[in-house]
Amino acid sequence: MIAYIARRLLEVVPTVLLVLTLVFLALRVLPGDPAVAALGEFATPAAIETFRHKLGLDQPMWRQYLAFLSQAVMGDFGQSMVNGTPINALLARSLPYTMELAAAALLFGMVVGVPLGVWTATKRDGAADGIARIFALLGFSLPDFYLGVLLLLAFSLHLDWFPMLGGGETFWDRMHHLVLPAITLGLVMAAFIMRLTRSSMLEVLRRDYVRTARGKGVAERWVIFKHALRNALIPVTTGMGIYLLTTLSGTITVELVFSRPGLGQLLIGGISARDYTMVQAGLVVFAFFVVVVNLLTDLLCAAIDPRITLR
Amino acid sequence: MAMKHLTRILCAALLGASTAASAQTTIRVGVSQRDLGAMDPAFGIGNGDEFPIRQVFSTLVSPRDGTSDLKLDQLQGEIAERWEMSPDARTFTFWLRKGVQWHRGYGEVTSEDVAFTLARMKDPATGTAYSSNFRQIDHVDTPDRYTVVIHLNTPNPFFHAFALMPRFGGYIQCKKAVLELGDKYRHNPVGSGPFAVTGYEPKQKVVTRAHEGYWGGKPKVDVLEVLFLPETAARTLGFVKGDVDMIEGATVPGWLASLRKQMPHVVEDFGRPGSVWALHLNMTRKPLDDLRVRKAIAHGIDQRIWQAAFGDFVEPMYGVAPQKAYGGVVKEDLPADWPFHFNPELSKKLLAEAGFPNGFSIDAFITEREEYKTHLLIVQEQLRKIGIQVNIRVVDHTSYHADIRKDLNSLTVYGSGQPPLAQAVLNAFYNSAAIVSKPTRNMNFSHYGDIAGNSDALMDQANQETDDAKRLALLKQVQLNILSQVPAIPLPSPASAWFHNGKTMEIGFPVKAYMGTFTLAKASSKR
Repeated sequence: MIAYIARRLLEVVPTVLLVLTLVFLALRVLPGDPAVAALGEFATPAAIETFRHKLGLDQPMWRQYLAFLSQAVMGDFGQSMVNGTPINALLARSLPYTMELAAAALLFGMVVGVPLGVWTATKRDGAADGIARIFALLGFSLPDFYLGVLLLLAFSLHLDWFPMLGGGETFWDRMHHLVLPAITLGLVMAAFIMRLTRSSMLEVLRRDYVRTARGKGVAERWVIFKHALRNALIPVTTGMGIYLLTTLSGTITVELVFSRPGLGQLLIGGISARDYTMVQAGLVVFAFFVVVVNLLTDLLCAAIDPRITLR
Repeated sequence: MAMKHLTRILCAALLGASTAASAQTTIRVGVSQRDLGAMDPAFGIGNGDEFPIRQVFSTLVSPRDGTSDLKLDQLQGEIAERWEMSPDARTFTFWLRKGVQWHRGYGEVTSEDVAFTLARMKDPATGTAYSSNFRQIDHVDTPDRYTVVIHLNTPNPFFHAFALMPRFGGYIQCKKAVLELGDKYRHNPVGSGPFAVTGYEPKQKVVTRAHEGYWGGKPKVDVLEVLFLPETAARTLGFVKGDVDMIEGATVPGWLASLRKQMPHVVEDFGRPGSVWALHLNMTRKPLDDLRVRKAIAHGIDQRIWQAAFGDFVEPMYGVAPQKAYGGVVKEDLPADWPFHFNPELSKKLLAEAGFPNGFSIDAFITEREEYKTHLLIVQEQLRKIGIQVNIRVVDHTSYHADIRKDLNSLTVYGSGQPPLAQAVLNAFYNSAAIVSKPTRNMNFSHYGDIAGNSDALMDQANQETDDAKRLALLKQVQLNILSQVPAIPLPSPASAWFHNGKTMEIGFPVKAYMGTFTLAKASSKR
C-alpha cells in the first residue's frame, strides 16, 4: 500500500510540471496586459513600462518561465502582480474556506444522497421514489448561482437565520456562514449521489447473492445494508470522486454568490486583473487537488472492495 | 419567529459577543471592486481604492463637503489653512495648518512632506498613472516648515484641480513612512485623514479606525470598513438586509426601481458631474472620414433612450464634458444646426448624399464590461434604424484598453472619471498630442487635431486664461468648434451612484459630488 501511494505521488510530479507549463503558457497567450489592468485608464506609457520592468514582464518568456518554475518548485508563488500581496499568504487564508466548503458539500451530498438512494431503490416506482426523483431532477437542473441567491433571499434576507456575506472568523461563526453555501453546492452532489446509489442498488439487489441471502431468511435490513449497500457503494465512490472534482470547480461560483473569501475569489479576481502570478498559483492548487482526489478515490475503492488490489 | 430568535441567541452566545464590542460604532461600505489595488495614492485606481484612500489621506485643499466646486476661492482647506495664486497663474502658495498629525505616531505634516509628495508624483520612475497631472510643476520651494510655493512652467489657474484634489493623486503623503515602509505602503499607508488603516484582508475588506488626532476633530464613527463586494446580487442583498450601510450602485436597467421598492428609506447619493462617456469615431477610417457620415450617425442617436433605461442614473450630455462640469455646455448653448439633435430622416438623407443610400456596415469591438457593452448595444440598435449595421465583437476588458490605444477600433466607446472641468476632457480626448497613435498619446481615439480641424491653440489659451468669464467663453467655443466636426458622439453621463441606509447612518451633509471626493469624517451611525 505504502509503495503504491509513493509511486502514485511520484507520478504526480510530471503531471504537475505539465500543468505548471500549460498554465504559464495559457496566461501569456491570453490577450491583455497586467500593467494596463493594474494601472488603469490614466496610465502613461512611461508608467506602464516602469510597471512591466518592475515585475519582470519585459524579460524574455523563457526567463520568466524559469523564474516561475524555480519559485513554484520551492512552493513560493511570489507576489500578486496587481497589489503586491504574497500569494502564499493569500492561499493560506483562502484555501481553508474552499476546502471546508467542498468538504461540507460532499458531506451533505453523502448524508442526503446515499440514504435517499437506498430508500428509493427499495421503494422503486412508488410515490416516494417519484418524489425523490423529482428532487434529483431539481438538484441537477437548478444552477448553483441561482439556487444560492434563492437561499440567500429566503434564509438570510427574510428569515434572518444565516449571515449574508463573507466566510466568518471564529469556528462557530465559520460554520454558521458555511451552511447555505454548503447546501447550495451539496444539493447537486446529493442529487448525483442519490441517482448513482439508486441505480447501483437496483443493480445489486437483482444479484444472486442477494436473492440467496433473502432465501436463507436473512432480515431485509441486513440484506440491504450488509450485502447490497457495501457492493453498491463501489461505483458510487468512484462516481463521487469524479463528481468531487466538479464540486471543486463549483466552489468558485458559490464563493462569488456568497462573497466567501476562498480560492474562487482569488482566481476570478486574478483572471479579470490579469494577475498572472495569482492565477498560476490558483490553477496549480486546483490541479494538485485533482490529482489528490483521484488518488484518494482509488485508495477508498480498494478499502471498500477487497477484490481490488493496488499495483 | 421563534426559530429566528433562537438562532440569533445561539449565534450571539457562540460568537461570544461582548458588550465592549457592541459599544463601538461601525459603518460598512460595499464597493463593487473585487479587491484592493493599492491605498498608496500614487497607485490607487477605481472606487475600491479611491474610497478608502480618501478616508485615510488629506489633500491641501478640497471642494466643500459633498460638492464639486473647483474654483480656488470656493475651496475648503484641509492640510492648508490658506492659499493664494499669483496673478499670472504660475505660482501657488499654500500655508499649512500647524499640528496636523500623521497616523501611527509619524509626527507632524510639514512642507517637506508636501514637496516630497509632489516630487514623487511627478517622477516618471515612480510609475504612477497620475504623473501627467504634475508635469507642469517646474519646482517647489519650502521657505519654512509650514509654507509651500509651487512654481509652474506654464500658467494654469486650475492646476490645483488636476494635481491637488481628491481622486486624481493629490493626497499628501508622509515622506518618512513612504521611505521607511517601501512596498508595504501600498496596503498599510500612513495618512493624515479622518481614518487610519488598521487592517486589510485580501478580497474581503479594508478596516480603518477613527484618527484621534485628525485635524478636523475625531470622527463620530469608531470603525469604517470598506467591503469588496463585486457581485451585484450579494452587494444589494447585504445592503437590503442591513449588513452593509452604504453601497456603490449598479448601472443595470431596473436595479434602482427594485431597490426603491425594497428599501423605501434608502438615501440616493447621486454625485454629479458624472463620468464622461462618448462614442469616438475614428476619422482615419472610411467612411468615418466623411463629415456627412459622422453627422448621420450623430443625428441617428437619441439620448432619451438612455434616460428611459437608466432613469436618474444618467443625464444628457451636450458638450465634451458633463453639463455640471466647469465649462460644461448646456442645452441653451447649442446652435440650431447642432448635429446631435435626433433626426433619423436627416441621417438617411446625409447617408444618401455621402453615397450610402442603403447604409453600410462597420466593425467594432467592445469590452465585456456591462456598462461599456450596454452603451454600444444601444447605439447599435439605433443606428440599425438608419441603415448602419454595427458588427460587434466582444473582447476582455484589458485587451480592449490595450487595443483601443493601438488605434485598432473604428467606433470606441470610452467612459472615465475626469476632474469636473471641460479643459481636462479637452486635453485628454481632443488635443492633437493625445492622439492614440502618437508617443504622447492619451485618449484621442478620433484623431481630431490631425483630421477635421485643430483646436490645440484655443485649448492652451483656455487653460492659461486667468479671467473666469473669458475662460468659460473660450471653453464653450472650443467645444462647439470641435463637436461641429463630430469626432465623437457624447453619450449620457452616469452619475456616481451610491446609496446609504437612512435608518443606519448619516453622511453629515447632502451629497452632490462624486463619492471618493469627500470623507466620512462627519458621518454618524444610527445603530
